[in-house]
Amino acid sequence: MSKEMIEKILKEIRHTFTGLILFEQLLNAILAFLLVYFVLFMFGIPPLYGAIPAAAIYFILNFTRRVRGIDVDIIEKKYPQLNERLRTVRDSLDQNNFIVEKLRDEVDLKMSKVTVGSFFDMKQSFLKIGAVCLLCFMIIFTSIFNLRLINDMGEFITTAGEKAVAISSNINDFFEGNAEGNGGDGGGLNGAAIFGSKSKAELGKDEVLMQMQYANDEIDYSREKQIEDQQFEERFLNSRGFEGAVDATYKEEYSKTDRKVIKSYFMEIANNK
Amino acid sequence: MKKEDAMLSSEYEKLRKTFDALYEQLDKIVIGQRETVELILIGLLADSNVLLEGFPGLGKTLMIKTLAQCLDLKFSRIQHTPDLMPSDITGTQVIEEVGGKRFFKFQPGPIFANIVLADEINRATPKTQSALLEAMQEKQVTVASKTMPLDLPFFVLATQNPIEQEGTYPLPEAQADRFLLKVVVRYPTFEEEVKIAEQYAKRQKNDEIKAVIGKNSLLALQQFTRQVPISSDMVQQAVKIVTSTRTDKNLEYGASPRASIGLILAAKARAILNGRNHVSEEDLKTMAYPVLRHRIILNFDAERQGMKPDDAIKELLKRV
Repeated sequence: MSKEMIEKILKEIRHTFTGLILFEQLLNAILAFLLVYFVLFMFGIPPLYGAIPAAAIYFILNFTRRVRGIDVDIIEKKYPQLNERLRTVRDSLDQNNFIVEKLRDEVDLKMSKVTVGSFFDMKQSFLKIGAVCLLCFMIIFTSIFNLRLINDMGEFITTAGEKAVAISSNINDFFEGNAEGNGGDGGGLNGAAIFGSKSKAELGKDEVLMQMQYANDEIDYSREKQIEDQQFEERFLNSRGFEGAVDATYKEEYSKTDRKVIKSYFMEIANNK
Repeated sequence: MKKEDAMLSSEYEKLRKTFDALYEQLDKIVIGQRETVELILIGLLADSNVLLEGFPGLGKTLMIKTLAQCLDLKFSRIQHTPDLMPSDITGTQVIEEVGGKRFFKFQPGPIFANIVLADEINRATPKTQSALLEAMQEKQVTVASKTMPLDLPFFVLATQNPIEQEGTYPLPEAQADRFLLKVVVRYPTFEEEVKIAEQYAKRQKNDEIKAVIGKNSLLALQQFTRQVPISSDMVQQAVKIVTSTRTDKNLEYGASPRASIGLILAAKARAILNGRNHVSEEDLKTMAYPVLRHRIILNFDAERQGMKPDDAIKELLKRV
């Protein structure tokens, strides 16, 4: 067998395996496309923007990697009778003697028993085709009924952002003491609700301002002013509006009939005991 | 198509049968030792030299003498002793007188043969040992400034005794490296020894040995061996095995690039001997032992653990 024939065989091996890899990687790329499409659709992201580049990159990278790895040892592993012989033939293309000729003849004879189908994993391919069909069905189904986890990712991000900004603003206001309810109207998270309002108290003859420090638990107080002397009646009785009153239900005089009723009532209670 | 190729074209198909016939002839005299015979044949096919190491009385001389008869090659034996001189090996100029005229005539030494058995080579002095160096490598001898080529094929089979090391001169590394293989000749098995005892105790006359492979065929086979194809993976693996000896944790001294060439050549010869037309990984791993065991030196730690060179090679092959 001539050197040209061996070169032809080696080229044919490369060509055949390139075809097999192309089919396999196309199937994988379709699967990747559909999977990414479905995931993006469920999360409300325009699916074509991500699915096409993802599938294309996947296909290109894997295809080139697998094609570069095509070598005769793929066949040697599958067909042990060709072990070491095929690669020896590959590496001795420039030699031409009777031993090499015999080796080439032997390899040619054994190569006739090699079939392309033995390198094609039917089970795996069918599983992938099944997965493609399932994904197509899921995409169509969710599209018809508009079933999504998130309707619009853009809107979701915007809303989430606004909420995050609001929370952040409240936290800032809280620590800067500008929140609502801090000595004023209530509502919202503010220092007054936690630390209490600023208050004025009278200690002896001094009016004192007392305020809890936000950064620590110290109480800040300072003298406001000296209070004016006031009489008890002036300060408390008049200012509070105290006055005596008789309970309208209290009576000193009862009628005979009332007295009888009351008496019999208490007799009843005493007899029942 | 060359004449030798045409001959080989038909002989390739019958190669296995030829070697089987060779073994059949050898089995008449040599009982067992099949592995040793195979390794010597590998050395022959690789056109290189072999060092045999074994205890006395294992039939080393008888084996090589019988092999020379089977190959129809001129055989000579040199018994090395401490007083052996280089001229005793290479030959010397002697004065001859013819018709009243005297002239120097070269008297060739025992090295002028096809198969030279250098018996107990470690008993000769380094000077005498080095007389073999040129012959083994260059296939030529220089005497009195005159270089004389040796008749091809030329093959040196040296033997050495692993015991009785007193008064011996261990082969220097430079000379040991020129032997392709170091073959350890082992004791025969019990059944083989029974057969030996029966055969050699009964009769004294040797059976007639027929030549199986001629001189020219052997030369052609040697060329044939070099043409056995080997994949680049196998070449790299062979080099990897040899280079690993230089950094191995058990070894003080590793093998040289000559070992890489020798390993590939020995693997090719083994492939041919087994009737294969390509070199396999098994060839490399099997030939690693005889090719490397005399080219490596164990370090102190390995020797302290009682390790032998073959053990170190076995561990190295597992790692590679």
